[in-house]
Amino acid sequence: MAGLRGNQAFLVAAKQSGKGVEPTKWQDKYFFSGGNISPSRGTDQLAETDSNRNAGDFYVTQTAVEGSPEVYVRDDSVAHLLEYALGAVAHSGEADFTHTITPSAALPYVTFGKQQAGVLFEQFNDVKVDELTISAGTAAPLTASFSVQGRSAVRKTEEWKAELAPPAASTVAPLNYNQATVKVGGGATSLVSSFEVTISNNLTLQQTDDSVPFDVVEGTLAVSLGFDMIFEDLKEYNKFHYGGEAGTTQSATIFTTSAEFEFARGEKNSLKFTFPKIAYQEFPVEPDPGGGPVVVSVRAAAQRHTEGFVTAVVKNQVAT
Amino acid sequence: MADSSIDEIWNVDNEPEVDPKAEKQAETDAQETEVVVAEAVYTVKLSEDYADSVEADEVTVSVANYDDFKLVRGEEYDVPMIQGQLLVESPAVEAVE
Repeated sequence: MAGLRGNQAFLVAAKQSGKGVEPTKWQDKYFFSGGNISPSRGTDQLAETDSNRNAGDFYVTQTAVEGSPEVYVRDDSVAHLLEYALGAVAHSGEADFTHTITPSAALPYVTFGKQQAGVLFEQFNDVKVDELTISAGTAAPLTASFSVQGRSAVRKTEEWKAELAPPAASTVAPLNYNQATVKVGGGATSLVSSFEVTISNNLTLQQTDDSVPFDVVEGTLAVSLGFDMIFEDLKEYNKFHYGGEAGTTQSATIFTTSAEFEFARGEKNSLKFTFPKIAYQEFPVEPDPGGGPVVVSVRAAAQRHTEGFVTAVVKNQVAT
Repeated sequence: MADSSIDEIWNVDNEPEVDPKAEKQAETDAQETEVVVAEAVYTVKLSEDYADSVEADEVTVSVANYDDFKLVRGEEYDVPMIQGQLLVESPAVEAVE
């Protein structure tokens, strides 16, 4: 008998109303473009002075959920992934909706379900998104890779049914970097050729008196931004190192600016990230013996600002 | 030391009537169904600037682990505050002084 096919798999997800509360309906169905989500099992080994040269026996330390699934970014579902990673969303509109996603003090618990090869049905409960990275290279579709930590997994003997029947997968095209509009420092630029934003929640899995963790708790929120930029002039380089566009002496103060990345496949279907204040962390200008044009791989981090840390706006035809 | 004390310490002939694992699970379940009690409330309203930008007079706000709440232009609401801060740093939500 041939082995089961790896490319027959999907992921479903739904926000929980609280810890330990199973959702009544899945929000989205995704196909994997990479990664996985699975039960995890920590083990350790006994070690004692019992005069036996054979290694000690193993025991289970923890059972939980882990993984880093990767999916394509579609405007009809990415709002939910961003909500899982940031925590709050404002919905408005009637037929065409605008979802404004922002950080909140806590993250929602999420239930994920995975089907593989038509025989494996696993449900992962009380999961939180530790890190979400949305990225795209030149001319490439945007992908969302999200690492997760969760409390428990359950294997179902058959696919979810009735109210929990998996919804149809989205048929819209993934957003693509060719649909990007970029602003740096408030001005539009066509020099940027890639994009990567990482939302890190620095989760801690709390374990107390059971192999099942007691809770998953948020740590400090950090948001980093990376992009490749054609090195056309010295302005941004000078701002980073020398304190201003025409600076000549190294600056002792951090340079900050703003950035905005919008990916739109029409007025009513888009994803926009706004970073009101970012600090460049790296702005490397490297010589190239091959003589190729210089491209700077910029790394920056979101800074605190009255207009927010980071805001994502998704426009689509999905109400909530 | 009397045997009865030893029995008590080592639980000999004193098997618990309730399975401790089941008892612990019941406690955990009880904790899981507890409603999170907010420390205080903030009075908020729908930001006029935001309402103008999305061309909507009402906005539904979803925040992790709390019930959704709806903000209508011109009206004020009391929402929970946790960990000493406004529940959400959304441009849609404006604190009322």
